[in-house]
Amino acid sequence: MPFSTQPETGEEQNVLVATLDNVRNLSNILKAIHFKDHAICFVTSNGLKVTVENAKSLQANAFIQAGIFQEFAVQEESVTFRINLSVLLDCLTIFGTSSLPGTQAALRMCYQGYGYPLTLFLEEGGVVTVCNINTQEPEEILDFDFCSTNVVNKIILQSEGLREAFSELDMTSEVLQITMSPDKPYFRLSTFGNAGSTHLDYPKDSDLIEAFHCNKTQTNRYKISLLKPSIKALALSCKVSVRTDNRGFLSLQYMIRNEDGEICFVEYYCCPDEDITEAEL
Amino acid sequence: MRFRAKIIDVGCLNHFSRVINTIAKLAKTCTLRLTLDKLYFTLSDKVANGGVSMWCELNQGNFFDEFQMEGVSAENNEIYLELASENFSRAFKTAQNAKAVKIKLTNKHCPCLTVAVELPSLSGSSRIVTHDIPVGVIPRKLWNDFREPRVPDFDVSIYLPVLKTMKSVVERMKNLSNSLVIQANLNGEMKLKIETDLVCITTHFKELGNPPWGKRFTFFVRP
Repeated sequence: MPFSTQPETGEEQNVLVATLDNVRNLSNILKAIHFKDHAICFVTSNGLKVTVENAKSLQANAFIQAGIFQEFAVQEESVTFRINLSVLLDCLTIFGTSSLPGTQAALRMCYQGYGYPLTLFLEEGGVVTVCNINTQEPEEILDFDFCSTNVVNKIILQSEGLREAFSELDMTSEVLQITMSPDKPYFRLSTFGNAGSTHLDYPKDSDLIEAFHCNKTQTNRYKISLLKPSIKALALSCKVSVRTDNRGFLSLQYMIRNEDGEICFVEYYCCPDEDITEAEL
Repeated sequence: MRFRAKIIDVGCLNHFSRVINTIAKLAKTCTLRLTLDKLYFTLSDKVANGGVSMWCELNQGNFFDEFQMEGVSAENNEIYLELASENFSRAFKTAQNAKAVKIKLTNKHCPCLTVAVELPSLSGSSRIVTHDIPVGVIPRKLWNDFREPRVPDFDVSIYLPVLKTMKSVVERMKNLSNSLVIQANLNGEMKLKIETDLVCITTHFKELGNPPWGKRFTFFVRP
């Protein structure tokens, strides 16, 4: 290509090129899973998946599908790398986080492949920032083996219904107990803290509940410290799907609408707290 | 030594408060120098405190409706005071909706800057909040320590970009690195850059323009 208009970075060598007119469509979603410094990025032609894990018991995934980007080109079947999420977020928000009109930063993201840094070009009002973030060896991520065929109970509700409950959770309680049942109390959140126990029940026919598919009564406990970061995702989302499978694993799927009205998903998987009495049996 | 001044205009009051608040953020203690037409807030370079110095010069006529001062003597018609800048900024916090603010140099047990804030009230009789801020009077023989710093000769001078953008960029860079590289040239271009093991970030500003210093290129000349 003698008359190439490509920038001198060697565009054709990039295994990933993605552009975004509004960088907040990426940064806001990533904030929903930002509770650890490190994240694994997994890129296919479908889009970008970013995974963060904690204590081998919690996994958060953010999906930013290719359609959200104005341009999204992946040269390989899949591209995986580990990156410092705090650094990535600082770079993406370098022009600030304000959502006032006229302050919209555009992003061009390039990656040349294994061993290369992730390069970000950000532009706002004629000012250009170039970031080269070193990538790291991707580590194996947990497979929660959560399949929809093993789901026992599922409730979809409007996020505002959970938002209040989660912001007022008794953090002195070690666990959050979730009861889902086809019969009363249908959907119950319980904590057992220093000041006593609290139970919060949602009636099945509440306006907040959009879908209620519970087949069996299940009561499971989850470490509150593990679930706490999911509040970030809850705050951004409009709907949330709460599911548990036959092993008591919890899946929280958050539907997040970005500034352009497009839908993205963030999901959290959490292991149940080990039941001591069961172990003793 | 005498000093009394009064601010009535809300705009002037807010502007003055903003200046004081900024100074309080930068320096624990600062020097207030009063002359017939100017006020100076200065922090002189002390390496032990990080080596930052500050020079803030205000025309009293831009802020005060009344301004009377008599210095230590006719030939040295100035006053130098040392004060905790936070106390001064706190006094102006109560002055947000004030009808008028008076500042006086008084002697109550020790030399004080007295800030009297006249607040409006519904009943018609106004309320006055008074703050006495202890100050140290700096003797004549030490005045030389508070001279205006000499700006070294420079090769490049450039207008800064929109400060809001620059602030945001520098704040993010501060999260990631302890030091920052600033580059500027005479073509109106400036770069801010950090480099660490994790990341390398460069922000390019263009078309900033360079101030015309003319023949006096190597000196800051004050009117």
